[in-house]
Amino acid sequence: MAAKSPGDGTPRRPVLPASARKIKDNAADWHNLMMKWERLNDNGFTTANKIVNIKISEQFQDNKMEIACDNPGSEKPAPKYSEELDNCCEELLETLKHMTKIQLKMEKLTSTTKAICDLEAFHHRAGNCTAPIFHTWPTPYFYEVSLKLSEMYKKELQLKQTIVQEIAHSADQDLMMVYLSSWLYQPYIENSSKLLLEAMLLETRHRRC
Amino acid sequence: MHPITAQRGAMTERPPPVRCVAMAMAALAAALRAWLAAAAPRDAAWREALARCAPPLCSLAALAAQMRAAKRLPWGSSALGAFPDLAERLWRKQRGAAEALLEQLGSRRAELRTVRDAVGAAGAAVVRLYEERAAELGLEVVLRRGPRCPSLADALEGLQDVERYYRRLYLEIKLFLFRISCDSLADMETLPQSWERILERYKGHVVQDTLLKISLFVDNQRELCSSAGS
Repeated sequence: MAAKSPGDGTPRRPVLPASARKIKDNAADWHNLMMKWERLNDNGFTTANKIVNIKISEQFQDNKMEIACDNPGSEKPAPKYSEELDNCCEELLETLKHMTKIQLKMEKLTSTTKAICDLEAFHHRAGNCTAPIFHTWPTPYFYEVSLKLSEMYKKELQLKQTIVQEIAHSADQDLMMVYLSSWLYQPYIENSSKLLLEAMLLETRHRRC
Repeated sequence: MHPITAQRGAMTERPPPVRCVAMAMAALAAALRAWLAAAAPRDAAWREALARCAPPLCSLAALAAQMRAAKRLPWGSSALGAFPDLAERLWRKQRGAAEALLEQLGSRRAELRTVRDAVGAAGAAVVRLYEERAAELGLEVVLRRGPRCPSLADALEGLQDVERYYRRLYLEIKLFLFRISCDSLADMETLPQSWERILERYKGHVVQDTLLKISLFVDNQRELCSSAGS
């Protein structure tokens, strides 16, 4: 389906069928959502790092007071309310909220792609051909890639939810450091995610070879 | 680089004509001037490469602390026990991050090697020229110093000092970087301190002193030739 060229002979891009247009838009949306997620991840790490530093500093102060009192048998002083810690926790919760929205949008993209595959399968039964819409990818492969990515981010979100719930309540420095490291390195988002995204963008002609 | 050599028996023979001495000296001064022009930007590139090693080394030390914490943690008894494959996945990601940092350091090492090789080649070229023209100069001229001018021998010795400095420091840095490994996290955690100790040992002003010495020679070498005839 190519549009007519204007009189000056400038080649036009072919007009895509509606489902191909939708898949192309989805690929762009995947790219934007993954970039937004990375930015939120960086911000979240900065906040989580602040939380851990405040906790360690409080522990250090408590230890100093304990030594200064020189009375190991006496009761430990009650933990003081820290406004700064509270603010950081709020900030981290807010970041998590935004990440949750992004993950839900990713699920929506996956279900939209599934619907396009189902529609194509319906037409195939009616005798229409199923040539690749773009270069080489059969339509179900777009769904496969979307699902893979969506599952990675879903699992990663579950981990981040646990970290947000626990990080401000932990006293173990090793555990706090593991929370930080887990947040930063996102163990459930595999290295292949970047490759899958780039392949999708290349296939849908967002990127040129 | 070979030790500086001079023709034997120069003291017992007739001194070369003044015109020959001046021409030979001028050739060597030109070669040293060219060396000088290239030396300052090379030294700047060397210093920049050294400075750019520090951030990835600090990142590796922080990463090592994280990896050690993960090894010590009793995973099952924490909230993270709900993620049975987390420990292994995190380790893989941390190793990947360490490898990326080591690649950066590899690039810095390549930059240092380029400077070392360029300085070595440039110094060797000047010394080769000296060896070709040594008979024209005579030992007395080579060793003569002026009120504001080091001797040609001083200048050439400076070239060797600089070459030796870059060569030795490069070798230490290369061995230091090759020893970094995720299998020895305790050592990885102290990388910034180990790096500072290496730089401390090579803290001297060899390069700057040599640049000054050669620059004084190049600016004032004519007075050595004018006193050669007297």
